[in-house]
Amino acid sequence: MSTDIAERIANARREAEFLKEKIRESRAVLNDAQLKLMSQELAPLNRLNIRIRRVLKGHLAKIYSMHWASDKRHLVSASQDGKLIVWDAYSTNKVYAIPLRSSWVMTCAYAPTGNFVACGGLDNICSIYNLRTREGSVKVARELSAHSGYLSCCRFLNDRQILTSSGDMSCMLWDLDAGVKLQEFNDHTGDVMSLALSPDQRLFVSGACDSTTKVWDLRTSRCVQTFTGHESDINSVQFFPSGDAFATGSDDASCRLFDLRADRELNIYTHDSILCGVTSVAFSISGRLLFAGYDDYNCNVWDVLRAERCGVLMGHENRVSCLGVASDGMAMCTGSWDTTLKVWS
Amino acid sequence: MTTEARLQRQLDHNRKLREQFERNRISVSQASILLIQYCQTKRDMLIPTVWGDLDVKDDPFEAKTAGCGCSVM
Repeated sequence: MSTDIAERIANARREAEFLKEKIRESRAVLNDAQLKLMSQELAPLNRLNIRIRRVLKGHLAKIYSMHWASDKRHLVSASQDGKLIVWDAYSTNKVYAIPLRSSWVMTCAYAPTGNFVACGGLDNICSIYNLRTREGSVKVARELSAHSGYLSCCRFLNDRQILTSSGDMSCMLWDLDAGVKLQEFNDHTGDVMSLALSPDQRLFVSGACDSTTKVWDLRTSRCVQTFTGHESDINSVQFFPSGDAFATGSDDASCRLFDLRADRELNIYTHDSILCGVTSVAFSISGRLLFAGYDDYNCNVWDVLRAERCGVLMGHENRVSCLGVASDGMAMCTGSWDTTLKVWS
Repeated sequence: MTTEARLQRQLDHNRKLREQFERNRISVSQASILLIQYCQTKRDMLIPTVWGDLDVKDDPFEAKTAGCGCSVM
């Protein structure tokens, strides 16, 4: 009886080795080029004219997160001074300053409609604030509690659903009307640090301290792809604008580009002189530029196709902790531990 | 872990491997062409060498200089 099971285990092991070899073969056949070599015929981008256009001052402590609104003009920032501030990036006015119940905030998000903002951190809770109440004041709409670890990232799908990632190694999808968890996404073996929604909202990608990024199907809750390559914690993930690829930033001082359909890493953005971790990444609207924020106070601008650095944005006096590109591609905003946000264009 | 559990774990692992094997992948050259094409068709105002400079009147970060909206009575 037990020898029968032992035999079945041995057969299954042989089948596994056979499958792994077939996968290796088919991947080798498809590995027929390099993106950066195919991009050599494109002109290098060496005259970027990106400079600081606005400085947003007002936070009293390190800024940990920022997120643009869909209206390309407003943005929300979160600081460990215990406040969320909603800014008008054109005028630098503060539209709302929202005091938080817990000052240990690590992430914030703006709903696509502009009706809500969300935040969370070491309190393990995702708090939702209604910006457009009938009374006119900002109010807590929901406090989503189910994670057993810190909230590292959150993103609204719409006014009814939000995705969260956590130090408890899971991601969750929530119903905001009922205030309950709808789905749980478990497969990472380390703190999940960042997530990004695909443009069509059918998939999302997560990056974690297990050095992998995983692609999840929102309908089935299943992990459909896993990408390896990074040598340390992944701090940030962002989709390429077409939704067919995504970029990652890691403590291993590199950013990488992974393609969903080719199912592999296509480019690595790194330099011998860059030794510090990447905190945040964002694509420009065409996907040609990748902005990456680093621990060394700078933001490097990478040519996504040619894998060359085409600019360095120096302007902060401490770590760049977060950044984002507005949806019309006109501006990029960096947030820093130096308590300021800077809008570049 | 019991032998039955070990067998089940191996079978689950093989199921995932089979899914990986059956996945339709495109080649690196095909994926590269598609990404390059996307970059070249979407207008990007942060890359003036490819898409041209932005008109001052279209730049939302330029301070408005012309006119104050007043009319002479």
